[in-house]
Amino acid sequence: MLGLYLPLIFLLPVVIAGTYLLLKKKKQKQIFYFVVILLAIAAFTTRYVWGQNAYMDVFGLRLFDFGEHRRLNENIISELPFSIGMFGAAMGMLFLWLNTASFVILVLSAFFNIPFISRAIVFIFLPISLFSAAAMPLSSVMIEGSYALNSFNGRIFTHSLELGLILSIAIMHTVFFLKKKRVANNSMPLIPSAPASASSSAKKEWIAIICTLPVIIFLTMPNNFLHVFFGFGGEVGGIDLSFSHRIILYFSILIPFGIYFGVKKLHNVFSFQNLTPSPSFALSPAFAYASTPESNALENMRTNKTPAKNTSNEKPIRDKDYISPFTKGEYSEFNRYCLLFIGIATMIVYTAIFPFHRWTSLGSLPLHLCNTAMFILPICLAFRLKKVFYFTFFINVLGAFLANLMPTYAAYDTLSYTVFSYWQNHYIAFFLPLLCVALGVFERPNIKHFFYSMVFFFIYFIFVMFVNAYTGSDFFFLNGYFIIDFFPESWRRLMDPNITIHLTGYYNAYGYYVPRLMIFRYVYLLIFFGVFTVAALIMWLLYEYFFAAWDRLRELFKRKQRIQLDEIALKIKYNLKKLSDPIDKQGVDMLQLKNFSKKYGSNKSFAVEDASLEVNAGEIFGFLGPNGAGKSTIIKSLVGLQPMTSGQMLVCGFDVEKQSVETKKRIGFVPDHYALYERLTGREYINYIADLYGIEKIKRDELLTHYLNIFQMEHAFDNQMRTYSHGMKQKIAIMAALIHEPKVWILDEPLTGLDPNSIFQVKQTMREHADKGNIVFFSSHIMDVAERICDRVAVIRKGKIVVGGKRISEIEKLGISLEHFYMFVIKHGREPESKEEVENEGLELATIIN
Amino acid sequence: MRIYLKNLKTLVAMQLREKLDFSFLKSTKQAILKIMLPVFAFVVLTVLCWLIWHQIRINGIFGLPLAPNALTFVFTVMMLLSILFTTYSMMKNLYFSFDNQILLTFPVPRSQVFLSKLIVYYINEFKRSLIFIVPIFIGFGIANNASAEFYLMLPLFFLLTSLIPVVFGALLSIPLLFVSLFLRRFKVIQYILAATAATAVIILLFRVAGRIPENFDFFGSFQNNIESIETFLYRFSRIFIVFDLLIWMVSGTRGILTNVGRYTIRIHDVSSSSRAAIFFIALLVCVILLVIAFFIVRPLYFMMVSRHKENNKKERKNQKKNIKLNSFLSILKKELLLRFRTPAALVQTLIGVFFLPFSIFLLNRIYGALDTRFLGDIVALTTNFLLLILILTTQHVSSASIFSSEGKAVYILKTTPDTVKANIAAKMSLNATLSMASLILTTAIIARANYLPPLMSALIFFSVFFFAISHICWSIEMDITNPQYLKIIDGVHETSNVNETKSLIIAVVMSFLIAAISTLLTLQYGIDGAHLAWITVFGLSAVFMAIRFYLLIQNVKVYFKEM
Repeated sequence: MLGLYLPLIFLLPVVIAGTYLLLKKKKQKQIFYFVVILLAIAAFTTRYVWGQNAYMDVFGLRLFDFGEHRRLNENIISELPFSIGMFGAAMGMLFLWLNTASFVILVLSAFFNIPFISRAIVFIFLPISLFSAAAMPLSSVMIEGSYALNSFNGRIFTHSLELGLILSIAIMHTVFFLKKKRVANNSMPLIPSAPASASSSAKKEWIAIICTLPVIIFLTMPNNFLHVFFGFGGEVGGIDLSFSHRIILYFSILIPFGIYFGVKKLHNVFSFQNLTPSPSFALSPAFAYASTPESNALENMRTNKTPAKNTSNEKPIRDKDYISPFTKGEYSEFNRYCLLFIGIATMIVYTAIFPFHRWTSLGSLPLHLCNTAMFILPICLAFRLKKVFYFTFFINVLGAFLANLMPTYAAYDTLSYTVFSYWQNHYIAFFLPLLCVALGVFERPNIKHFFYSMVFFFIYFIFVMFVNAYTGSDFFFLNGYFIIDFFPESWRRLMDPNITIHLTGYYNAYGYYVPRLMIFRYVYLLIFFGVFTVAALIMWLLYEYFFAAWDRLRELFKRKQRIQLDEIALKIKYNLKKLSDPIDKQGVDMLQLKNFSKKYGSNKSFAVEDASLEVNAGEIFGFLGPNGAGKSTIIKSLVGLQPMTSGQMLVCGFDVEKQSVETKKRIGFVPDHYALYERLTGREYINYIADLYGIEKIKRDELLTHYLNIFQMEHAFDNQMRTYSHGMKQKIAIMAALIHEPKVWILDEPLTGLDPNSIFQVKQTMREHADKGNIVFFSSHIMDVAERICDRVAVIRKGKIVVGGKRISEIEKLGISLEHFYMFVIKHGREPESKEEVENEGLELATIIN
Repeated sequence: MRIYLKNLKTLVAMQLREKLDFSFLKSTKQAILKIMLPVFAFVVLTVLCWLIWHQIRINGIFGLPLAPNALTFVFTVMMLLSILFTTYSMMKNLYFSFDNQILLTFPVPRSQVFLSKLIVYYINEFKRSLIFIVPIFIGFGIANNASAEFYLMLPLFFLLTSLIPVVFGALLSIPLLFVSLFLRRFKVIQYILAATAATAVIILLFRVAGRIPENFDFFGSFQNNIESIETFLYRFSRIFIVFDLLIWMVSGTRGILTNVGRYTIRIHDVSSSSRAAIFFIALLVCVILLVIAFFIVRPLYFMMVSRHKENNKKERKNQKKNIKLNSFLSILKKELLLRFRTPAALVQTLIGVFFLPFSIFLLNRIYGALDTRFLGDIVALTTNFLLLILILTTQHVSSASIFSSEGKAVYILKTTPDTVKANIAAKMSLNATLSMASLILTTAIIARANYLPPLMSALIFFSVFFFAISHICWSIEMDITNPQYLKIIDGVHETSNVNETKSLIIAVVMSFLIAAISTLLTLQYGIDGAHLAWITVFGLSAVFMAIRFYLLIQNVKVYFKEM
């Protein structure tokens, strides 16, 4: 038995010595490590595919259990005394399993630099490797039976080498890790936050290890493990949606979601560890949008910008020149690492049913569509082969999904390796390509990728056709009856592959002319190919749909988060207790515009640019300007009909954009084109609006009586509004805007189309409303009315406010009418300085200079 | 005369331009799509019609050989429906249309405006024939190996037959207008008539469906049934001889009822001279009727157009009271008032409530006539389920323009404080309540017809209801994220509303998918475990509804401000 340890005993010191000697020489150290990795891969692979494993004949940790369990193939069983006993068999199996996990983790460590994996290697996989090496006799028996212990066995020799190399890699990795830690610890006193940061980082890594270790272990579970431990699990039927089948099917959909969110979470945890501000600091009074890293971080999160790179002097423990020359050290490789681990681990486990002798026979190769996925995916992930990857994305996913729905195994033991391998194969072929795209390792497919996938599918199809013809196999079910059975009897005879393959002369047993059969056969194959192509096209459309839906969902939650952050930022910035408090307590009796700008769609020019205004309580404020100047733009933004591009609007101290509910409670709006429900009566409409504002009945009755009296609408108030004249409808719109006694009353061209009587009534109402200490803000083209009723006016021209709140009395002092004043401003873009300046213009005042 | 014709041409072009949008010609890609898609749809429809006629002919369902009487039947039904709908829509368009306010102010005789509208209608009718009726005829021709003459006669045929609904519509719209104005004045009579008509139609439909015999072995007594059908078709052709003559004209054949041997219909050729005579007589009759309509309307048109605009304002002596309600109830009240005061909306609502139960009743009467085993029972139940969800969800496609349909009035929604949720709740409640009423009746019919236990009936009821609510939520979400109210304000929505189209597609796909899943589950669980299948479906529906509802709320919170 000591001979078993010989390779290990000789190998280990050599490797350790070599590591020590080369510690200081970076380049050589990396190459040496890489060479050891390659040797470990060679040893592991050789041992793994050498031949069938002895544990394949173990059922429930026992042999020869005829009483309870039914054996699959008694001819395999020969005399295999397992002198290690049940416990020994269990341990041997367990160490084989854990050894595979160590192997994959350690090999990948040469190519990826993942923070918590290094810690896992040191504290978990190094002990595992040690114990695996110590328990070599047990694992050897499970591989070759007791013959392994009696005489020299090449496979066991390789196994010993494999364990030695794996242990060596683990030790080397540990040495490097400890060295880096020492270097990091020595530099700690220079960085004040470093101890807390390092401790927090270690804690996160341990949590990550605890969460991922079960997954790592599960993925490398040998496909015979359940059978070896638990024995016979009962027969399963064929193509049948039985309960157990359905449960497995549901898991096949749940597992990828679990992996996706798990990987995302891990990725986010480790990439944000230097950027998250402490909550206590964020809420302190000192945090008033000062440009600190923490406020920048919060701002970045709020505006969804990419976080800035860490520019501090502190170097993270992970860095590029870690161990292997192939390690990029970029954290963006994390997703690829996870998927590659899944691919490689499951490929290794799957390959257990393909010992060496199967690889020498063409007909025994894993050439079924889904079988190929087990090998293609890890290769594509390792070498980033985009063109080949999309073949699996379109074709394998579809095939695996269909296979999951219709398993073709029949009457096998539930826990047997056949069933286990079947599901493992089809799970991976189904969800791994989807995860590769979902996690961004490969980009979303476009037409070019679809074309590549069809090319590779065609190549595969032709290849499989010839292999089937040459070996008599049934890869891709081209020669099977599975699909032919769906056709009518007369068609089946023509398509039957066994008839077409075994040809003698010109006629076959059914009397069909052979060339005609060949044509029929190839047409069938062409249709088969065509159906799969169409199905792939449908897959693409489905993918596009799901991508669009996913993007919409992501955008939705991003925006939601942004809104929430905006609210927090607002509360912090203005020191508000709740959002319903005004942000400007001095402005509770004002309407303010502060540098308001608005652009429509993708236009480069502004509809309104940098507009600023202030309107006080008790004023009637006229907002004048030519058509298209921007009056309606400002009004629509004020009342909440459209968002603004930049700037701020405050109504009674509330921000129009961020405190929209509070501002809307205080605004009454009369649009330029009323929109009434013409089948409702005036009363029903006004009551409807009053209900939306929550106006009490008594107040409502009082106001309605008052306004009906002013507008003389009593006689028609209970008739349907489709019988009203234009003026009556406008009055209803005005009443609807005043029913909740708004602090700010905004009217957009309210007098258009009204008769003089109605105009008088509206003016009277405006004056009355302003005299109560409210604000009346209206736009108009009728200068005479504006002159008579307004206290102040503003003029807007080509999106810019030229005159921002001029008193009518001041204009009158100049000795000119409002009309002349307005015409001058529109023409010259500035106020006139004297009466003469206006008079000198004469008739040319009406000409507008561009 | 030249000026008259020039003015007429201008009037027609103006009205057509408003209805037909040719802006796609500016872009080659759009032009190809706009032209290719209808052509493709036409081809697909024609192929479908051919396949149906082909199958009818092979199975001899309408008799062997396939007589032109079958075509007469189809054509007559379509023509009658067209005349009915055209009459009503012509009445609306000729006398109630808003563009009259502009057209009548032009310096042209009013009768010319009338004539221009008739021409526009004729063009639209011809277009409609091209899309819906021509494929049926071409399919019939191909299936029946018709001669080249048949296809050559088709353009003439449709040029003539498109005139029929227009002529009858023009004539009948005149008395219809007077009836309409009369009913407007006396609303009570209007309501009584409407209720009576609705009740009569419902009873008639249910009675007709109820006459489908049970255990009807269609294939067992196939020959007798075919003879009955042939006799029915022949008699139908005799009653509607006018349309039959037109079919003689285009097909060049006619079916004669005989009792010789196995076949009851014999086909005889119609001579070319007879065909020509039929064509000219039909043309003459149409022209005469048109001239009559023209001369009747000419002195009356202006009066008829302006009469309905005069409003009878009644002064109310007793003022009504103001009532305070919360936002939800207020919006609900508004929706109900608008729906019940708008005749078109009211009719649509009533049809929606009764169409579903009737369809299911008819389907189950047909199934009841068939002798089915276990698989047949499963198919029957799941088809009921499919039809239930399909009709219910497609009825609520308008939820995809729940806010946009407000048009200009959407400003009320956006300027009042936080009423979005109340709006959604109120509109959804209304749709859900109407659906529920219809669904209760329908589920009772299904349960009775399929002998379902109460638990399964309840599961089916709630499953369908939850799926319908999910679809409504999904549709509302479309309107919030892609509002169309600006298009509705501009009047573009009549030609296309992307959200409603999308909602319709989702309704159809969803219905078939759910039906497929329920079928699979029912087959898997078998007879004894059928209730488990429906429990699963119920669970899926509840989860789906919860997800869609949650997404709707999130979308409202995030996107409503940007609408």
